[in-house]
Amino acid sequence: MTEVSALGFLVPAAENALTDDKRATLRRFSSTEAIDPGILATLAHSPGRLERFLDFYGQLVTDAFSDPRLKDVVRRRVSELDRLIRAHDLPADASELRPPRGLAADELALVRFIDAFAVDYRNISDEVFSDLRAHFTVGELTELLWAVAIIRGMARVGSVVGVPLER
Amino acid sequence: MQRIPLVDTGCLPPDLEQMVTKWKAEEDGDPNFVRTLGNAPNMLRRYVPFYSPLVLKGVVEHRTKELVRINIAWHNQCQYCMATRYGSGRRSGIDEALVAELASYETGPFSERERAALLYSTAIVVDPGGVPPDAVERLRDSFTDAEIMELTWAICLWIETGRLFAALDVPYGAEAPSVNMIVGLT
Repeated sequence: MTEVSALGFLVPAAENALTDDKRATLRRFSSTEAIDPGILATLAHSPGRLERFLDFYGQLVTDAFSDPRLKDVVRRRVSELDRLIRAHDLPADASELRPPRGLAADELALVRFIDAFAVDYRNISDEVFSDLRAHFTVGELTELLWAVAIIRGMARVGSVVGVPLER
Repeated sequence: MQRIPLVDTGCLPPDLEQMVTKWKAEEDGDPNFVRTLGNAPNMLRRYVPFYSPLVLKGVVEHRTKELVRINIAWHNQCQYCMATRYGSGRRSGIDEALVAELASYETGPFSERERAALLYSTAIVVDPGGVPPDAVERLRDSFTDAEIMELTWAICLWIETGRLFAALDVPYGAEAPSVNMIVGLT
């Protein structure tokens, strides 16, 4: 089975390139993660690459997001902004982005970083970083911010090949 | 201002310290990538087996990917990424004179394959959902689907992780101070 991306690249179905145990991992991934498997399928052209990514990403979402609500907040916010980016609708000022209601303080600190990063990554205020440091250790912060970059990278791959970040 | 403290190389877990030593010996690589992500050692241990073959091996020759990486670093204005050079890049003929030619890659001393990859990377930086048809056509004339997917992932990860390194103001150079030498970061 193949899927044809927006650019006309032939993308083999991810499952065809996997060993049985990794196929099970991807099925598990698809059932627990809202990331569109079509993005991961683009890794299946090279032997072992998808498996190595799943090894990495699986650890990242388990360790960096030991509290699953943070994972959902990050993925959802990156996805929301990705839709704005695809529609060329991202505002020039991060303060114009309204955070979702009802967020806990640590979730809000993350969302403010994600917003500022998306709008102008070279001019993120000290306040945004101070707020993050008030809620997370350096180790946690390193994992969380790297996760933001990786999920944004996946969204960008999705944009190129015409697949949304979230299923 | 540096936003995440660097781990002192001597304070890294032994396997990551060894990674820095090997990286320096084989690629003349800067240690601060590992010193930054070394704050989360388990994550780094899983990332490198994915990232390193994507960049240094894979189906697209390293020279083309390295030219693309430097092109993205310039677009991102990531000081760390712009300063970074790899031994394998130098061995493939990338010197500072060639890097200077990247600003006008369509007329510079590059192959059509390299130009197509550079055009594609620039298009993804500017508007990932709107890569122009002529850029796609040139890419497909020079690359297989597997090569295009490898390039696409490398480009998208370099854009986003490079922007993170720019946001965190990660310094270049082994002499960059570690966590206990920076006031106010902890």
